[in-house]
Amino acid sequence: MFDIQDLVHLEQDFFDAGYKDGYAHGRLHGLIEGRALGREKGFEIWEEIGFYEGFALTWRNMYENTLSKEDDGEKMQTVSLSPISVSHIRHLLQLISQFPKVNPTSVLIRGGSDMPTDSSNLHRTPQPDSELDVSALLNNIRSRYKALCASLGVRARVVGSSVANTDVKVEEDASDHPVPSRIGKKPKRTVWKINIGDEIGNDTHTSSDDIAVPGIGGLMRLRTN
Amino acid sequence: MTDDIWGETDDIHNREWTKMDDGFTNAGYREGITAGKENSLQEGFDEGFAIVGAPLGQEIGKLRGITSACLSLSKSIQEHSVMMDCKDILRGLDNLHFKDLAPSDVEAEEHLKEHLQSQDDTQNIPALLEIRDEEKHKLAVETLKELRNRLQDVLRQIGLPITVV
Repeated sequence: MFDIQDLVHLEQDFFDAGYKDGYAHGRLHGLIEGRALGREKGFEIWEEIGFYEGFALTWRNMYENTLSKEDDGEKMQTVSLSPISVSHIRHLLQLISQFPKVNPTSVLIRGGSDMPTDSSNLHRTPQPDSELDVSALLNNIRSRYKALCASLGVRARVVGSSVANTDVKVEEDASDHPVPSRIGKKPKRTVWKINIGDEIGNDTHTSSDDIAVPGIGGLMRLRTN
Repeated sequence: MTDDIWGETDDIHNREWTKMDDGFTNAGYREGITAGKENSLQEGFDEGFAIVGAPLGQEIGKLRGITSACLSLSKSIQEHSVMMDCKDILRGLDNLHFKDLAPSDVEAEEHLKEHLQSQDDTQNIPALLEIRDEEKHKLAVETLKELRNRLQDVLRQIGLPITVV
């Protein structure tokens, strides 16, 4: 006998089969797009931190060199750092050593399996403490760097001022200043965590009506950055 | 007679069947692709951040920081040739682009090729993702190596025991 329930079930089976394939495809796109974003952001943030690190390390070396060569009569003797500078260097390097090299803000907990039946199974548990810390840490590092520059009598340019694009080159004079010039963009706090609604949700929803197989919609956004 | 009737009905059945299959499968696919993407985006981000972006950024940033400090020093000790070298190195580092330096995302490039072959989005595909220019990559890596060597020379001249090569 024909049972209407079978038909309902059948529809669900078709849907599920499609969902499973779509999920795998979407997952691949999410990984690809996420990686591209993460690479850029990681590079941007760590180029800035790395700059401070190299800067501080070099000054510390000069200072230690000066101490060890005090009687040698070499040119290093001309570099004498004030105790304040030395203290700034120590603090700066100490702060930098705390800066995370992995994104600390996001912990994803998937709803039991790798293939949830709907997106509400996705819970993000941001760790508010660590997120706050990173933001504060970055500010501390920047302030300490500026203070160090001031104590050394070296000009420091404000990070996050003019350059909006990581690829934009600064004018040649800028090489005089100890500034990470390509890191113009001031990292936003939210940058560490992808807001799915903003990043891809809109894209996919608008396109899903007319395209059965959505393309790599999100990746296009990377090009426009 | 009877054969014809059944044949016709089969056709209708098949058409309806296929229609239902396509309709629901596509609807499922659309929902699945959105869910899959949302669910993996952060994972990809964290991976790209930790494995490629942060280490490479730190490397380049550090070189620039060291060079910058050397430049300040060379000014204060009036070492003109060192000063010019430092400026040159900084300029060189400025001209290096992350896109060229970074290792390629093999999975992304392979998937892009799949899309290109299946032609389902041919109009959009070229704008979606570029396959990295190998020549540019080689050149960038080469340039970076050269800049490292030059910076090492500068450090040697100033007498700093820092190793960057």
